[in-house]
Amino acid sequence: MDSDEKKLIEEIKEGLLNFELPYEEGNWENFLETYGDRLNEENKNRKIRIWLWRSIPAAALLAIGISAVLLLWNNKERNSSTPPSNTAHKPTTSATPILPTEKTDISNEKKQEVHSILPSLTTASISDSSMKKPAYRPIRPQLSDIPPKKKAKITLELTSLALNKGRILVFEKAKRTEKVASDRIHMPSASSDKWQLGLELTNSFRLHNPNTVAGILTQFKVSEKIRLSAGLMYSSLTAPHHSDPVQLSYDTKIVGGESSLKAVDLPLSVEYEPYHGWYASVGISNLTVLKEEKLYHMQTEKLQESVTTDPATGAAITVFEVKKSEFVQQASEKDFEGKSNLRYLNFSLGRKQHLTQHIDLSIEPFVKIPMGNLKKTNIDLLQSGLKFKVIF
Amino acid sequence: MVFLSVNQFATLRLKAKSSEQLSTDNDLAEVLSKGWQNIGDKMRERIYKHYWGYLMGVALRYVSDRETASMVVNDSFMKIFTNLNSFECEDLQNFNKIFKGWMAKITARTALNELRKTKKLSLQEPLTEEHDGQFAVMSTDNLHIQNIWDLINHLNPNYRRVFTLYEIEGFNHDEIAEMIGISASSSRVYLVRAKEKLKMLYQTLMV
Repeated sequence: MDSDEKKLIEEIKEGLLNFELPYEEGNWENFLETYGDRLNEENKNRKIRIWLWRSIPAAALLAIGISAVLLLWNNKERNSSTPPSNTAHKPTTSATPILPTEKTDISNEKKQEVHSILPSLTTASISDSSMKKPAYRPIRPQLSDIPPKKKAKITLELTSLALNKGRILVFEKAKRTEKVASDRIHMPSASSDKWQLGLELTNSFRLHNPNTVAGILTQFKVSEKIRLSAGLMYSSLTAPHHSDPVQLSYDTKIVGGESSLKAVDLPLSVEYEPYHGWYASVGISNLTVLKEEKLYHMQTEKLQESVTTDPATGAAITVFEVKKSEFVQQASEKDFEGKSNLRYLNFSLGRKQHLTQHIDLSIEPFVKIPMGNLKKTNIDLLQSGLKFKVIF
Repeated sequence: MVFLSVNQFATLRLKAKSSEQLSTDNDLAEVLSKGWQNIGDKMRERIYKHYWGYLMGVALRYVSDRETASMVVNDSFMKIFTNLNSFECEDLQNFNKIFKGWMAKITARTALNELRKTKKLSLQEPLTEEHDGQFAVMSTDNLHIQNIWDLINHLNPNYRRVFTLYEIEGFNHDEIAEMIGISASSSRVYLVRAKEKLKMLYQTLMV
């Protein structure tokens, strides 16, 4: 491009860029008359979109907060239902100093004497209170016939035996208490079992790329067989376009395309578990598309002329050939970006397996059927695949 | 495609940018640059009245009659107001220029859509088609707006669209190809030929 041409182009550019018409009165009023309602509607939708955008992180924070509170509460409940181990053993340790453990060498003869008296000792008399009140007091009158020296020795030995038995019973009682406490831990507590938190990873296969969805979910147990589930998922989807080829010009046509969406999915579903570990789920989910990339697959056909030599005659022959070539072109228009009124109908069947005492793993084959605005375009957003859930 | 005659365009006044208007322009741009995402009805009215003339100029590069141009401008304003959130400007010093460029692109697209709707957007024009016209011979060195419009209007419609979309609006060939339904290589050819034609017309008729 020579300098004259450059100058001419610059002058034309400048002239056109600075060209303006003076404002004509009444145009704004005409605009309002024609577009006022639509503008208000758009404003309303924009406010709803803003509200939704703000509500998503708020809902996520709320869900995380509730889950954290529930987990903390659950832990607290477990701790409070388990008796502190030192209190269970306290009576034993406090009893230890008064036990004459070193004087345990009792002859068989004396043991028989003691055994003749022992039946009068009941388990009830050797309880926690018996530890406070010495066990020999109730049996003292029955030892009246024994000579004082012997009586004193027997009394001491009896005390030792009784306290030993008491210690054994206290141990047994403590063990029983521990067992009850540990049983309480394993027994489902109504409030903590109603709410559960989980992570979800979904894979559905489309084109050459798997569609991936990941996020958090929370479940509420309505009854033994029915659960409500809600979640917050981040989706990365790729969907093909189903449309007939569109001729754009004499040599170029659109033969297909694909759209890539980055979206936030808010699923809400009801799960029914008729048999232990097997369940079916149905629900809807609301999709908010954050980013969209639309690609057109274009095809060009060009007539190519080539000259070849006829092998028989040696004469030059002109050969015409239609050469097809395909390329991908990014579209500037968007179908879904910024929209939040997009919905899916979700169905799934699942199998739940206990991984540990508090963690379950679920595997769910699923199908997501586009509804409403998602169905209106020629973009195939039907999804099917496998969901993996970890519930704790 | 119907072209506006020189006389028709002679009636359109080129809005002179007086210092007072410049300050208004800067004031509005300054206010807008501080928060264009959330504007009220009053601000919309101000934007509309301020940029209406500019967008009419843009629309008239693609559609010939003022009625259609006015409709295109109103459609464009509707899109501008509803998509104002998506407008991005990092260089606030040049906010007005960037904002005008963004609005011009929307208006150009709207005008081309309008032509497509009314089937006035010809896709099959041969590259060799010539457009003959009568030109006023100018003896001055500097081009007046009427002369510019004359030159532009006497181009083949596809040359004219590609030239204005590429040189004035700043679209690239891939975008132009998608907008007017030609291949990107055709767009390049149209641009080269449009420039050759403009140079030829200028040298033959205006020098």
